[in-house]
Amino acid sequence: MRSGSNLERVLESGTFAVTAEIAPPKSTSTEGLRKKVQALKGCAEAFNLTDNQTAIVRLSSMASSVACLQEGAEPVMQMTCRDRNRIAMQSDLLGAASLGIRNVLCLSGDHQTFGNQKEARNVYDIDPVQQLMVFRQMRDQGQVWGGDTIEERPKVYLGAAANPFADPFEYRVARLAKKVKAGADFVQTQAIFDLDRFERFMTEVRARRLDEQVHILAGVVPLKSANAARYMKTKVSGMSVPDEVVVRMKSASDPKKEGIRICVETIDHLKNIPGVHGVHIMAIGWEEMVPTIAEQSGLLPRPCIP
Amino acid sequence: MIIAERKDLGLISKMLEGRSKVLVAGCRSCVAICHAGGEKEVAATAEALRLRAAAEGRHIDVTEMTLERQCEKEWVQEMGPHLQDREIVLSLACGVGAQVVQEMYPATLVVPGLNTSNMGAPEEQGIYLEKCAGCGDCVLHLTGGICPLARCSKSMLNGPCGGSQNGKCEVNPDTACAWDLIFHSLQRLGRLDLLEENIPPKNWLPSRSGGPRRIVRPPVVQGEEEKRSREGSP
Amino acid sequence: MSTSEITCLCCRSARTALQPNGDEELPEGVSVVEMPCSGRIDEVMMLRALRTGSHVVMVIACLDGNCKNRTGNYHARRRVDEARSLLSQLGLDPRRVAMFSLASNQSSCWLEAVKDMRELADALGPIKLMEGDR
Repeated sequence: MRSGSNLERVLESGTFAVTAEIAPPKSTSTEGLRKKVQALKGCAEAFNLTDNQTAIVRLSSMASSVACLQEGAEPVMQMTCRDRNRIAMQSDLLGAASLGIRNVLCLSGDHQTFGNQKEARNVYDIDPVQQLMVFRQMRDQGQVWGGDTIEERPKVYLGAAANPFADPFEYRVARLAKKVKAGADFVQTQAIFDLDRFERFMTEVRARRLDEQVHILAGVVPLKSANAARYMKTKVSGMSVPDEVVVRMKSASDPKKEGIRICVETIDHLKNIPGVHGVHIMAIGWEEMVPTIAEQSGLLPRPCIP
Repeated sequence: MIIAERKDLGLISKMLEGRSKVLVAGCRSCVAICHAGGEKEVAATAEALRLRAAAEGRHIDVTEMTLERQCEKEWVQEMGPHLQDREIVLSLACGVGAQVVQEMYPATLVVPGLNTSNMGAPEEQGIYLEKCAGCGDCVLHLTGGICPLARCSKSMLNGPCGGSQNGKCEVNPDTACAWDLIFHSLQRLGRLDLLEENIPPKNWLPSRSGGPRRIVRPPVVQGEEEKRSREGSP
Repeated sequence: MSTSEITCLCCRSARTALQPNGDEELPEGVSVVEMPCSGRIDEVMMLRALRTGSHVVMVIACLDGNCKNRTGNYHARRRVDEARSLLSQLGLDPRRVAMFSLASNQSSCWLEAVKDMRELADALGPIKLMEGDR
């Protein structure tokens, strides 16, 4: 075991895993966050606490992860390259591990111009591939970058993101391979609506035997309305939403129900794609639906693997 | 070349407040090519300052001169006689030029008329694109001749982020995704193998992280004795 | 120093529209600076005309596609835009500089344009700061 995290145990056991995303509050109070964790606990192996997602200032991922731990659920701490140089990243990794955080997701981060701090200077000292290289060295060699010894190594399960829908498509699998080579233990993908394109991506993943080297958790997002579908289709870069999905949402008598139905159907499909080892549910601003989705997808109860 | 653009004239007027004898100094090098600080822009800026003074009913005496290069002392020497009665210099050179002029003439205040932006090239007439980040450790041999440090919004060294779509960067639809360009360049060159290798964390020491950079080219550095003999003294 | 209120910076080819027979008197307060081509007119000339007493400046060029030198009038248009931008930055009304495209037989259009610009000139008066957007 690299980290001994619950997520690692479930994935290594070969069980289809579930993770879900929880957005930290724009507040110092963790009360709401704790309530969400309580409500979602038991529906997933671990919960991603985002790191100032869309570059909007929120409670830090580390503090949120600790609150999650205190509520008895396992966090996946997200860490972007946007706001930290390699000194802060390595220090934060040690800090996170010392607080009991066992999963860390390495990301480039949404560009600052999308958020509420457009005039900020970004960092990008290292990129997510290099972040994985640095963190793996810390965990496996017990050395910080440059070679100094760490007395007690950070036992963390290392995650990365993959987007099968961004361009150039021909390079997307090679890019995943680089992350695997750099040290990713698990990968969470961008939200999947375009199953055809995802199938093509997975065919190539299997051709390169990447599915044997890394655990792939397929991302899903439940849609709340036809507008949300249209927004994702047209405004979010690196997203592919087929017209059929937009039409279904538009013509539904109860769009919310339809959104959940599409999400559950997608998960059913994903479960049957070889090489997909789990799902990552991103119910943005709609976290209370995670239990319903997990339930309807037949993913409950979650296994207990010692 | 260095790409710059003129500051807002309102801001320039503020910097010149209370001064009536102004020299507007241009540069015939990079900033003339990007139409920010050449002879023509000097004339237009000077005329605009005169117009503003006229509108305020205030006297102003604006003179103009454009040097071959404001970043080299040898050329900046030409400015001396033109400074005799000037209270202030508005430099329409890049930040380098403006500093060299200030260094050469410490008794006269030099203020910047341009915002210096980047090292780039003209895309077409009037459109300039940043190409080089001056990182001090060039990687173009690994990236198909396209610099990801200058041209990727996140300066990623190991491939595109998830925001690359249809060859465009998610940050700005007018910006090409550098990694899309790199991928297609290496594909054309038959060197996609380069994209399989992980590039480790970059050494930023040759960049700004090593402090202000000073480059020494020993073969052309003159010794003290040589300098003295050049100046004619024994 | 010009005492006229309206300065026309005018392309030689378009000038026939101003004085079809070559000897008509110009409307009162209008002075004409004839240039070999509107492409020779730049923002420095426009600003200088305003500084030396003009209330408004009319840049008169040939119709699009009709320039003897192919693109002179396109140059003029860009420079008019630049001059207007400079005026805005200075706190002056950018409408003080305007571009007109005329064929040599469009005398009536020209007279109409002068009328409009005179109205504007009367309304704006001599240049003063903060009359623009800032």
